This record gives sequence, C-alpha cells and structure tokens, in this order.
Amino acid sequence: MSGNRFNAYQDHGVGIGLRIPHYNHIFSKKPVVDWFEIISENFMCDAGRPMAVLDQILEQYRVVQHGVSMYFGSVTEPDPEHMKRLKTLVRRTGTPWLSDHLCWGSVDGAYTHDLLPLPYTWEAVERTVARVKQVQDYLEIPIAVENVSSYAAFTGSEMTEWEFLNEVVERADCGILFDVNNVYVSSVNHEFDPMEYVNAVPAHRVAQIHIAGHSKYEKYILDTHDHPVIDPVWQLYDRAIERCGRTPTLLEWDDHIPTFDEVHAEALKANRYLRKHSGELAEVSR
Amino acid sequence: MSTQTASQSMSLAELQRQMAAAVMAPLTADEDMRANAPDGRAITDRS
Repeated sequence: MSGNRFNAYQDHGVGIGLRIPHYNHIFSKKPVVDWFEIISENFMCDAGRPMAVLDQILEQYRVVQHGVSMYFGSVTEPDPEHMKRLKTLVRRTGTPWLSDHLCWGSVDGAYTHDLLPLPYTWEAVERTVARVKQVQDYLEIPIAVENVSSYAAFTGSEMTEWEFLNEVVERADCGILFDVNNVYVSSVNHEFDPMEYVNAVPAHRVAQIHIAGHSKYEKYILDTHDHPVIDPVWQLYDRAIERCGRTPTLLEWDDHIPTFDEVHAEALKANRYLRKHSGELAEVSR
Repeated sequence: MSTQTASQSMSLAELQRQMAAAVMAPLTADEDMRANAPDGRAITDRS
C-alpha cells in the first residue's frame, strides 16, 4: 500500500507549487498535473481574485495546503483569528493533510516573516509538540512538519536536528514534510552528513517530500528556490524514496520562475526515482 | 558558514525575544547586517 496515515493514504504523485506567473497557462492550457501545493496564507481571505482562482483550480486539480506562518516552535500562542481562517480554508480545499515548518518566527505578537531555527533542546521539543497537537486537534486533519534550511546554530542545543525532528513527530504523533533540499542546504552550512539525516528520519511518518534548487555563495548556501534541483539533492531524494516508498513529491520554485512547462518538467524528473523504487526501472539513468 | 548563537541557560522565550530583536533590526546605511546584536554582543561567523 502506498501512503500512510499522515497523508491520508494518498498517492498524489508529483506536483508543483501554484504560482501567479503560471495562472494564465494553467487556465488556458489546462495541463495535466498530479496536484498543486498552495501557500495557505495566500488564500486566507473571504473573496476576490485569490478565491476565484482557488475555486477554479479546485474544479480541476487536487490541492494540498502548505503554510509559512504557523511557527510551531514559537513560545507565544497562535492568533485565534488566523487559526479560524485557516480552518475555513482547510474545509474549502479539502486538503488531505496540512504542512508547515518546524521553526519559530513570531514572539509577543511581532512577526519576523522568516522561518527561524529552533535550539534543539528539550524545552523546545515540549513547546513544539504542544503546538503541533493543538493545531492538529483544532484543524482535524493530519499535520506534517517540515524541516527548514538554516543559517545559524545554537551552542545550547542538546541534540542533532534529526534527533529533534524525531522527538517532535513521535511525541506529537504527526507526519513529516521532508525537504531534502533543506537537508542539503543545512548540511553544507553546518557541516554534517546529509545522508545521515535522511537515514535517521522515521520513514513511516513521511507524508510528503519537497525538492528544490538553491543558490551557492562563497561561505554558505541559501535556500532560494530559484534553480533546478542539483544532483546531490536528487541523490538524497533517491535514498528517501528508497526508505519511504512512493511519497507525494512537490517541486518548489519561487523566484526567477521559468515557464510552467520548465517547472513541471523539472518536477517530473522525480518520477524516475518513484518508478525505480516501485520496481519499474532497474537503474536510474540520466 | 554557521553562526553560533548562545542559548545555554536562556529560556526559549528569552531566546526568541532577543533573536527577533536582532533579526528585525534595521540594516546599516550600506544595507549590510549590523556587526552587533541589539544588546551589543558581536554577531560572529565562525567560518
């Protein structure tokens, strides 16, 4: 059986992020796409063009919601109005699961609009688990937490990032949106073996996988989502699929966005690995 | 590149308040990051 209880046992295949520059192409050409991931915050309104677009998409495509401001690790409570609007959108889209980031980004009502890393401490585990459970209970759908790329680490961390992720998802009994590009980016920035991370993730909890490109600078890598996926990231994806089996996969491309066909073609490269580990291909060839 | 930030003996709440203040601090006139956090401590880069 493909899928697991964290993605509602769905075999969604390979999707791409729904982005404004592609609207005209999608509505005029009606391309075949396994699914679209939407950024929840872009559609948390009552009416207007965003909702008209969303309804049009929902008529033809499967949609999964991905958020960027839940801040599971923030110490301050989530905004009740935000949660209410999110639940309304969840009902509207029928998203089978909802993902957001394993990070923090707001405190005392101030929003940094950034995905900031947590110290990997037991205090942060407890805080994050409580928040994930709270959100999962309120929204009444499976939650998947996504590992973020990071550019700072804390001397007070008491465990590795993957140990922290494992503690959170086991205690909260939630799923994982496993971003293999983020693993690669952080592995370079913090000098760890990315394959050790991939091998440590509890495969039975991986609801979805993100792939993306990034930008390499002299001293660090930045998770810019503006390039094709590089080979080392495909290798991490290959291993992740080998461990997790067929898993809904999503290509993120958020800046210098090329044509719809280019983005979709890049995403569909994932099918090589999905087929490989389904026994349809003996070996991946590029 | 990996900026090491102290968090030992600091609560998660205090860490987030201090880091938010640093992250939201205005850039310099040259649009670079400031060399020091709001509390005066240097923002170091171990690379």
